[in-house]
Amino acid sequence: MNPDTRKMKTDRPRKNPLVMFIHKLGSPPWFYGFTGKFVPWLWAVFTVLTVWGLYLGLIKAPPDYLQGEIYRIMYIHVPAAWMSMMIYVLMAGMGFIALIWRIRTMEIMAMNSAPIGAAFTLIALATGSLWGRPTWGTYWVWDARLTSELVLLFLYLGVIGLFKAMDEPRKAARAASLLALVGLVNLPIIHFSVKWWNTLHQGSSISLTGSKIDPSMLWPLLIMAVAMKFYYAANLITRSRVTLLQQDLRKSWTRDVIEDATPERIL
Amino acid sequence: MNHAPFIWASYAISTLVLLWSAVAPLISKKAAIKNIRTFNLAKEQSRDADS
Repeated sequence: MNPDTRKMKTDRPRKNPLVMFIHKLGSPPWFYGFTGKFVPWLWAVFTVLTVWGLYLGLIKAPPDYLQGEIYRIMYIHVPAAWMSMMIYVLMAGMGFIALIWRIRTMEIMAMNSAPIGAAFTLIALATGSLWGRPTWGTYWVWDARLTSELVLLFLYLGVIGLFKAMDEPRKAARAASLLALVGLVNLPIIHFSVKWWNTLHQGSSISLTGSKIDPSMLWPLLIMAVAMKFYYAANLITRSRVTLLQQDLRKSWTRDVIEDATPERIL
Repeated sequence: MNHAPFIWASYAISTLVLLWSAVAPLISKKAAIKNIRTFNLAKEQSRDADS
């Protein structure tokens, strides 16, 4: 080999492994095969953590000195509320990547985050309402925190609706991603609503600097919060893989996946 | 006030919503696989008819 050629080859900049990974994620067959390996494990970890968290939260943790037993709603309400906001940030982030770099799997993941986020927002609102009745004396008030969380649900529904309203999925995903990005403005409103306005909803008990909750009550909450992240990951991957199959119905890789795969690989 | 109905209702609603959110894509997947199989079968049949 010509020494100059050899030099040119070695001088070629090596691609960043992260960039390479993102490029690979952009390939639907690779994404389908790669992510499929994780799904059962993610569901398994979610199940174990949920059972553990609920055991500690509903059985082992003592009753609250002020609220008694009703505070146990916290173990589903708080993780769901956190997830509702976290998923929105991730959805907008993936939508941003999809808009800039036109990565189809990112569009699909952003759009599939919306129904999961909507589910968590609905849980946060419903459980909050059920918690509010015995503690505040009402199921609902037009309080800043509750109202901004309701707006978040409408934003999720808007993203889902806009995505489904258009025939061309890629165009629809880009339009819905734009809406998701605009809706980001609601997140600081939700977070700071309890500080900016005089609300019925209590302020944050957990911050980056510490927690006001006793460890016996805090640990189950943190375990449930982690469990919900595994739920999101497992559900998002499952939904995204299904969307890929639906969109690539006429492509040869889907036929290969269906015909070559064992039933568990298809799932 | 008895708090148990509120606590159980919260967990029941959450379980239903999370369960539905997890099961819905599996139902869609079944339909997608069926569609892919139907499409490929139709494609093979038209290829056989042409040859």
